[in-house]
Amino acid sequence: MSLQSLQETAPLLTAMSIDGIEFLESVATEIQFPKGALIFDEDQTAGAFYLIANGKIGLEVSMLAREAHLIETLGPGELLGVSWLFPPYRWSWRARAMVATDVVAFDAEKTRRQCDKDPDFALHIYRTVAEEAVQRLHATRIRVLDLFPGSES
Amino acid sequence: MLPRSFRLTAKSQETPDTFTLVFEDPEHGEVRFRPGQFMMIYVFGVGEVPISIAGNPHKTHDLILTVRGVGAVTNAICALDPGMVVGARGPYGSGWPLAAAKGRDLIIVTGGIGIAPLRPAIIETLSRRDDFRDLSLIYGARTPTDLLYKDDLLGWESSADIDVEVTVDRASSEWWGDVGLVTRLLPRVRFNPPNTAAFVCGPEVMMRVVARDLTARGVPTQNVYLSLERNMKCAVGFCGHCQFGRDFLCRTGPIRSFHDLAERMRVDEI
Ligand SMILES: Cc1cc2nc3c(=O)[nH]c(=O)nc-3n(C[C@H](O)[C@H](O)[C@H](O)COP(=O)(O)OP(=O)(O)OC[C@H]3O[C@@H](n4cnc5c(N)ncnc54)[C@H](O)[C@@H]3O)c2cc1C
Ligand code: FES
Repeated sequence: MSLQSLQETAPLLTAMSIDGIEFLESVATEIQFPKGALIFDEDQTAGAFYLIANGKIGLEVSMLAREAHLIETLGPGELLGVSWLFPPYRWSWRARAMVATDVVAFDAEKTRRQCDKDPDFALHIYRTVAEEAVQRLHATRIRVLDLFPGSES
Repeated sequence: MLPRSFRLTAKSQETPDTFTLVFEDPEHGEVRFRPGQFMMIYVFGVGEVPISIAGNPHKTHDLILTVRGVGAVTNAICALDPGMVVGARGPYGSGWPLAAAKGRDLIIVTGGIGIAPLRPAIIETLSRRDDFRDLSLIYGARTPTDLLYKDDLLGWESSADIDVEVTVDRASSEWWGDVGLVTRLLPRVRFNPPNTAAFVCGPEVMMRVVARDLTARGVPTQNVYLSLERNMKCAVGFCGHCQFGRDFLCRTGPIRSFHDLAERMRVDEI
């Protein structure tokens, strides 16, 4: 799977320069996760970030002596992982494949170093991550309003 | 304006507080309606409330309602037993503008009990599937337990005629579906914004966010239709209970385009 084939659906790649795409390709690995596979766990080092090509990934928080709770799910074209960009570079949540899922994993440390070297590339990465984070923040704020009365989970 | 008597023939529990009830009127027979219209349901000795018709528009012998018990009248409706009788008048309201969606992609976005007035529209669009281009349903609920019409959802999900995306606000790790706001699923469904119509029904904040998101993606405001439910009393334009700005929603609504509503939806207490 080439990164170009994901360009239409993934905001990370839309409008990225050819040099930027070439760099990302050089630090990319394709990974397939079967349904239920753990992708990363809370407090682990955030050594990579992921672009979802197909499938669905759930972000979970583990609960003491209770089953984990799903916080949000992410689908094709979406970025998985923000913690790789900011110290202490550790995951805040657990990520699990909800169905068989194909991702492209990018090396976090090499991408951070490239950001230090190339301000245009850095701007694109930070802008994409910020836009994604703001959209998720808005959606989370609406969910906090608890719009649908009903049963407890 | 006079209510007809309808007898409850069947009742099923959808969720802990929501029931689907099937009524018939043996004396006068069928209730013809357009998807999105509502009835005024009168429980003797308790009161009268507007409830959307949730049945198949081609099976007019039954009057099907899905009711969430929130207060005196809706709880009394949910507590009815088969054989008991209610008064019902209608149908009232404008209905979903299926003609305006003809030839376009159609996205139906709904949350909570908002799926009830859309169920007839979904059944109708599937019965004349060729009239529409891509057809999608995005449905949100609080938890997996709160999803209504689970059998219908299974059937629609397995059909190639409609793309169904379901999401909940909270779930345990036993749920393998989506978690998140309905708008987060918009990028997953196929539509060509300038040639798309959208029918949206749910809590007002949800509708506003969905309408904004759709129009930001290029869907014309005239093509985004919302169901703006206000308390109703007479349902025929006399009492003013349903007034929304210059409109009486029982006559000119409850379904209106975002183009007509956008300004007024920003004003508190209208
Ligand atoms: C056009 C229209 C179609 C409707 N369709 C359905 C339907 O298909 N199924 C269904 O269960 N309900 C539907 N409703 C909502 C239903 O009419 C109200 O829940 C009902 O009037 C409440 O009456 P009550 O006596 O049970 O509760 P009340 O004691 O009058 O109210 C109990 C609580 O519910 C709130 N409430 C009252 N009316 C509404 C409303 N319209 N929307 C949101 N909250 C309200 C009140 O503020 C109060 O907090 C519809 C409303 C309209 C206007
Ligand atoms: S409900 Fe009386 S005017 Fe609309």
